[in-house]
Parts: sequence; C-alpha cells; structure tokens
Amino acid sequence: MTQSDESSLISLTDEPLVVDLNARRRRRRRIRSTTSNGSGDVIVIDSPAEVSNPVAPRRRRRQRRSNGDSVVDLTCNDSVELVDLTTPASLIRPPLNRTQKRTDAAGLITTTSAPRQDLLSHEDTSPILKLNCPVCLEPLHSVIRAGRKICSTVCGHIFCRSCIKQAVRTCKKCPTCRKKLTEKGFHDIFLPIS
Amino acid sequence: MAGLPRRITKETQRLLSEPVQGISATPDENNLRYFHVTINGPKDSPFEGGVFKLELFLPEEYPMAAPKVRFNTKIYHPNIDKIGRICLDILKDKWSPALQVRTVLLSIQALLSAPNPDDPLANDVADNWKRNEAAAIKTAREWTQKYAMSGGQ
Ligand SMILES: [Zn+2]
Ligand SMILES: [Zn+2]
Repeated sequence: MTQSDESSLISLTDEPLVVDLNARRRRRRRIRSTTSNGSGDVIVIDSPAEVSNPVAPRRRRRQRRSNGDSVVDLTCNDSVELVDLTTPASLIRPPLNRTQKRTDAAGLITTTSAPRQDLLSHEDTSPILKLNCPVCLEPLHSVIRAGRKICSTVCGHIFCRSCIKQAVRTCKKCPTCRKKLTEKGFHDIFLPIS
Repeated sequence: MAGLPRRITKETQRLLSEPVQGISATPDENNLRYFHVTINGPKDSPFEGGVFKLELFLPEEYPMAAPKVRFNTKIYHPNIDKIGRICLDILKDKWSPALQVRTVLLSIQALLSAPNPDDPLANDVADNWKRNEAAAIKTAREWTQKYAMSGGQ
C-alpha cells in the first residue's frame, strides 16, 4: 500500500521531465556519455554503432564533429541533468527553452542516424537493469526511471529500496536468501541507466 | 482500501498467459485477490489422476505476508488436514516476499509427490503413513478416486 502510494507520488512529480519519447531517449543517451567520461568531458556521445560498424570511421568522426555545436550545447546541460536523476524530482524541472532545444536535437539525431538509434535502443538497457525487483516485480530500469532507488543487501541481493525496506521491517530477512538483515543490511547502489 | 497492487496484476497475468503444467489459478471475478486453483495429482503419486481444487487468497499485506491456501477437495495426506489446511513451511515461517503464487502452488504440487509424515498436520494420517505406508497410500488412492475424479467433490 505505502509502496504504490510512494511510486505514484514520485512518478507524478517526475512527469514534466519526459517531454516526448525522443527527448527522453536523448537524455538517457547523454547520461551514458557523461557517466562514462565524467561530466566535464563534453564531446563524446558514446555510440555503439561506431564500435560495431567498421565503415569509414574517419568520416563518421568528422561528421560528428560537424554536429559539434549542438552536441556541446546539450551536454553542457548534462552535469545538471545527471545530478537530477539522483536528486528529488522537484529540482529537475527544466526551463522551457531548454526543453525546446532538447527536442530539436533529438530530431536532428533521428534524421542523421536512424540505424544508430536502433542499436541504441537495444543496448539502452544493460542486462542487470532488465532484472526485476524480486518483490514488486518491476524491472530495475523502470524503478530508476520512476526516480526510485535500487539497493543491494549485504548478502548481495538487489531490490528497489522501498521493497527491501519494507521486507526488512516486516520479515527481518533477505527475501532472496533469507539471511537475517537489519535496517543497516542494505544500501543504495547507483546503476547508470545508459 | 488501496487498489490492486501492480505485483498482483503482474502475477495474475503471467499465471494466465504462462500457466504451470498441471496447475490452474484463476482470479475470482468479484475479488482479484481470491483465486480458484486446481492442481493435478502428480504422476507416480497416490494422487495421480485426481484434480484437486484449492482456494488461495492474497491478504492485504501480501507479498509481505504469505498467501492463504486451502484444499477444497478432500485429500488423504499427512500434511493436509480434514478441513484442507496445508502444513508447508513457506506458507508460514519460511515465507519470503520473493516467493509468488506460482512458487507456492508448485511447492504444494511437490508436497503431493513427497508427503512428509514426520512434519504432520493430519496426525492420524501421518501415524498411518508411518506405521503402514502401503496401506496409507492405498487409502490416499481411494480418496483420490472418490473425491478428486470426474465430478467428485
Ligand atoms: Zn521492488
Ligand atoms: Zn540475500
């Protein structure tokens, strides 16, 4: 009961973030690049196509550089956005003009490299994020997208925070392996959501 | 009272779309926490050939608390009493919120394959089972025929 209350509450405040599908994908993508390179490093949009597609790497790179401006622009916001995911949703709301910019960029990306998009959406979700929380059965990636936290127990089992918290309170055990747990027996983990 | 938790919806959908072999679980149309269950008696057990009806209820605290399950079909089994209550650890102290309706029903099916008279609920049945297993199995088979086959209650 408390659980569903909590999630609906969060997703409500979370909503303004998701401008449209493209924008959202775009955001995730940017987050991937910043997490793998540090928020200071701007240019890199980590493109799986570049790795798996041997065709004319040089040209591709040049192409991307020519898009440099918009990329730089967007990733400049990244440091802010990246923090957003791990801070309360109420702080996220971007100013309107920024939203606009984001949508433009998404459109640009879609037209220049449709196949890359496909690859991305496959790779988008790493295997661990496809796992479900064993208690609420939600995939971890949707837990994170809803602005909720993922936890690991000291015995190494993964749940969303609201579930493990409730389970420890009521059962005092790890739901997966039944190891005795206290409130200190689990902690947040931070999975980059691509 | 809150609406049906997503977890219950998910479990129900999966139970219906990917049913477990030999088990059916259908939510009641008036109460989606209440399931009409049948378990086929496992092969090579005295319950083989029988179709056993059970009822399963998901309490408000589920999944933090175990489902409540009961046999509605009479069954001669050392771990199931006269009114259909089941002696199964995962329904009591060994419950975990990571278990599901599906796993519970599979465990009950397994209990039919492997009666455990050393941890009895139906004491008289368990006594018979230990004293003369062949006779107990024969009785179990008779009860299966009488109560769990073709329209039997
Ligand atoms: Zn959960
Ligand atoms: Zn564990």
